[in-house]
Amino acid sequence: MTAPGREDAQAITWQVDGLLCDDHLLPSALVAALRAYRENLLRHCAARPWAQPGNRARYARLSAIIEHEIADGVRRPGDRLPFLHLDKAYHEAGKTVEHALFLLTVRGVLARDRLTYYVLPPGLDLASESDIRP
Amino acid sequence: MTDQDDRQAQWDRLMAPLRNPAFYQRGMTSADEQTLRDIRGRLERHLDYAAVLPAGLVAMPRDYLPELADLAGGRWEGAGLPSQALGLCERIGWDIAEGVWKPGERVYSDHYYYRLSEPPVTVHCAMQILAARGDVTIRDDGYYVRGKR
Repeated sequence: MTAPGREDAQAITWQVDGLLCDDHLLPSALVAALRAYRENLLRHCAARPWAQPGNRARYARLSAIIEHEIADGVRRPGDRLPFLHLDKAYHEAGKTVEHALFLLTVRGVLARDRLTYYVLPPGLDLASESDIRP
Repeated sequence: MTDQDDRQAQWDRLMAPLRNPAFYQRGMTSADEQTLRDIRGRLERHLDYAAVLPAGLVAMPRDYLPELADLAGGRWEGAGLPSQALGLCERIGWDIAEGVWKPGERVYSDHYYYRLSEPPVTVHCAMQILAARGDVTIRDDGYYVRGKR
């Protein structure tokens, strides 16, 4: 698979999510392929340097704050992330919030379904854990 | 009676024809046409990334695109309603998350008809889907936001 960069990966994930909004009208084989590709793309992104802890970019710092809030129980599994509130609460640009939420999706902290981000229960990222075991 | 209640009563009158099953059997609707445009646009944007996508994930949408233009045989009739309703569900879910409608508060569904020009049938379907998902409850002929489960 060709490796898209962070911004392309985010844009492609959004496009695929948009297409999957109408999954009941697309050929089943295409839906299955899109889902598999999306999953592989996120897994591929998880191994990239920008997805690792220690990234000092603005979006990465914001993602760390949100991740702490989730760990502290401020945001609980199943909660929707109020996009506009995040934007205002942290005085960040919409793009920074988008990048931060994408990073958390790559890390398996959030899931994006039908254009909305949800907090995932902890410990769901079994595939990537098995990948890094010897 | 408040202005909002008055508007809701107007809305309920608008909804009345939807209880007649014949309403749903009427060929291609604007929702169907909009859905075809949406899917075509999404597939085309997807293909903008052809250079970094696997070959199969470029070929499959390219093969499918011409089928969206084939309106023969009523293939796409009725396809738009669930699609537009699901899209509106996300919009309403988003509004709930953003605090436009708070837990326990009534969702004035006519808001989406007047402000977003969504057809009544789409709004009705979206609210029913949200009720089935447990995001809203139906009480006294109205939809109310459920608290966190």
